[in-house]
Amino acid sequence: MPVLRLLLVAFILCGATAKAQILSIERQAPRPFGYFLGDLLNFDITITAEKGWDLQRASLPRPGPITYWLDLRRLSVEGSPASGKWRLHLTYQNFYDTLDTRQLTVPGLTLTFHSGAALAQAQVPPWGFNVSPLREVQPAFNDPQDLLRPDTPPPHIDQRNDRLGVIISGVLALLSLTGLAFERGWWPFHHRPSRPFSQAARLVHRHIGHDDNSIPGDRFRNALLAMHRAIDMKAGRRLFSEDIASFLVQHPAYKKEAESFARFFASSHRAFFASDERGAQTILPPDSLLAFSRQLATIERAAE
Amino acid sequence: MPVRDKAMTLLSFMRPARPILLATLLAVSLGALIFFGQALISHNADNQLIDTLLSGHDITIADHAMPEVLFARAQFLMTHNKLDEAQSLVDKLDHGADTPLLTAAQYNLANARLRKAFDFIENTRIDQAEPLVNLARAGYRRSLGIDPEFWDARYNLDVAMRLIRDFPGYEKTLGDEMVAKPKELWTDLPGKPKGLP
Repeated sequence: MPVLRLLLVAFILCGATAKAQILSIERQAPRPFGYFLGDLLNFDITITAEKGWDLQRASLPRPGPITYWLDLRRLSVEGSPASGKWRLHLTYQNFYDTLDTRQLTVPGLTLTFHSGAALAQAQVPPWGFNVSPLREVQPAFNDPQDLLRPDTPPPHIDQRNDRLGVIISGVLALLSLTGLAFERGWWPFHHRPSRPFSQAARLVHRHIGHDDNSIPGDRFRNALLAMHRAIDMKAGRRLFSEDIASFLVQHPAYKKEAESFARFFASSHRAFFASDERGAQTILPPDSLLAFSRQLATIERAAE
Repeated sequence: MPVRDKAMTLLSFMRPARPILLATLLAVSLGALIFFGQALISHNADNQLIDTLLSGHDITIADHAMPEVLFARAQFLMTHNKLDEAQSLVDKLDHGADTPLLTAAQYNLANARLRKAFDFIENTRIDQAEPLVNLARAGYRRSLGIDPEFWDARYNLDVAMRLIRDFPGYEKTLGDEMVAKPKELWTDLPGKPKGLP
């Protein structure tokens, strides 16, 4: 609803000495016509007082009924004696029940300011506005009960949030349970073939390719790393060269590759700790590494 | 070291933490599932209570029932001519409920009072109608105080106010003269109450 605002400025002349402390009263009022029963009226009142003068809170109207047809809904005050600017915001509610359009008056305010024992009064003048009837004077009806607007049907409890919560938490629970089962190899993932060596063989092939002899150091190191990860995964822990014997006791199928394991770890040691790829590739040439990885993959498949 | 390898290193570091994260997520989501599931079940039961009450069967309800249930029972009492009991339930809504519910309940209660007042007026028992109309007016005003845009409440307040006009009891300068003439009192009513001129 577009609200036309009427700016009403009332300067209080310096007639009485007590009023000289109030410099100006400005009221921003809403449109003065077209109000129905129940409408709100908002006023912004700005009072400029001399600095050091304080507003007496007791002189403010109290929220509640002002007259039998007018309620003060809200009242807020901003301002301080130091600034001398006081802003009041008042919201009234009109409850005048009218049969025709007529003029009503919101009563004025008398606000008291004080500085020490001295008092000054700011008069906000009354404000007139027009109220209009809400409905016709003599409505046609058969039964007086028909005059009333119907009841608001009591609502049911809104269950949309409950349903949404159940769906989201249910999906999350299912997802995390699936992830956990996958991670732990629970049903239905307990038959999932875990073939780290087959995977490693593919990776080693990708890193080494068909080069027979010497390959760049980083590719060789990556191939070694892939093998290390596969061996660690098979052992279930990080495996170093001194653990080979115990690993082969746990996985006897790989026993015949014991010598290749030793060569692999020796080559890896040289590549990673001595940074000597050339030496490492002499101990275990790339094609031998490839063959080693394939051999392990073959045993792995056979063991299952 | 290429980025991919860094990512691989990071992933392998995270690997031991993954089951813990998943187990935590599972526990939290199961807790939430139980919470929302219980809410769904109990609200479902409450909604069935509301249906039963609205279909005209009385059920005793718990003191700490959901505001919607309180409202439904208050509505039952209103439609069964137990306005005082309904009032005590509506008062309960004043503490816990969201305002739209309270506004609607006060409005419905005021409607119930006004309907009862109409019955009294039709039977020419005006002295009994008057307090009901006044209570209804106060109820509409409270509703409108919470929600000024509640046009049905404005309309019915207008009906109630025309039944019994205000007398400006104090401060005659405020507002217009409003001397209610006897013949204006019943402008809304079908004919005049029997027995009156």
